[in-house]
Amino acid sequence: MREQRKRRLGEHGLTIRSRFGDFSGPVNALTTDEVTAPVDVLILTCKAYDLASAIEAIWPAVGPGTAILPLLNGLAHIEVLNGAFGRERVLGGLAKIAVTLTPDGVIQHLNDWRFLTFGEQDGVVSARVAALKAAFDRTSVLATASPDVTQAMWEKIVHLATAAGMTCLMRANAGEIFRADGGAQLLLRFLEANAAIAAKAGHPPSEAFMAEYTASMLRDLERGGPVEADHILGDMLARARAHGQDDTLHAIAYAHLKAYEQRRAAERL
Amino acid sequence: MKIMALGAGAVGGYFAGRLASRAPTSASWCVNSASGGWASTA
Repeated sequence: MREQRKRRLGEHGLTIRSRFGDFSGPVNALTTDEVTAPVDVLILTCKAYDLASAIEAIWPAVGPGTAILPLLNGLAHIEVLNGAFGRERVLGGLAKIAVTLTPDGVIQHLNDWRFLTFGEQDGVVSARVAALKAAFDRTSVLATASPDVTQAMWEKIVHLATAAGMTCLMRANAGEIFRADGGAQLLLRFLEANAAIAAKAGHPPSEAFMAEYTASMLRDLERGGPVEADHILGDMLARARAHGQDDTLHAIAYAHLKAYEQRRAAERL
Repeated sequence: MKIMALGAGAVGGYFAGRLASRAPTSASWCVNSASGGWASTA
């Protein structure tokens, strides 16, 4: 399979299809037995379950000055890489990108995401981090040299743990969960539990992150789209009233959304 | 700057391809391991 991939890459080059520019051209494709000289930066994109074999295989590419940039989800791999290669060689990093490999070997970019965030574990924006950013700045990748990449990685795992935990537990997508009675509350509890774990580790998610995570209805509202007033706030309002709880904020927000729905229906936004 | 992306999935290929299109960066893409790993697509 991988030999076929390499042979195809040698014969046809690499093709990327993306709204940010197609690319078709040669790329130096290697198999691990052909990796003989150290590189300046090694971008590690294997899956976590392949990390041990990857560490074993990439030593020929690692020299005294090599920076290793792992883009795996989660956090646990950082300490594993620190132990294997030394903390001074290992950067923190994360990618936000949606790409897939088609059966004919083309890399298809699926949406606008092309974000890459990386930095030194100690927060210093080093010369090598600046140089790597400069390399990506010549491409359509939106690269950020972060002074606190560990915080960014924590926020990503809070996001992933919440999204993956809830969608897998419910066997449903986010929209279906929000429309389910009590689903939104459960998801927020999950989010808060994950955020509490991050806080215990000294990396509480920022207010901006928490706001972004919970404000999809606001985005719908701001683009003039339909909102789920009854399903979410209407439901919460009814529950608050049923239990004799203070319904002030829910009542205001619900009335606002119902008024918005009327103006939207009348095309008077 | 010599950069190598390791991992046979689409993420590694995407970043390698973007970098390969912009000299003077030297980009490689390592797509195979002896153990047969790294084959999952992103």
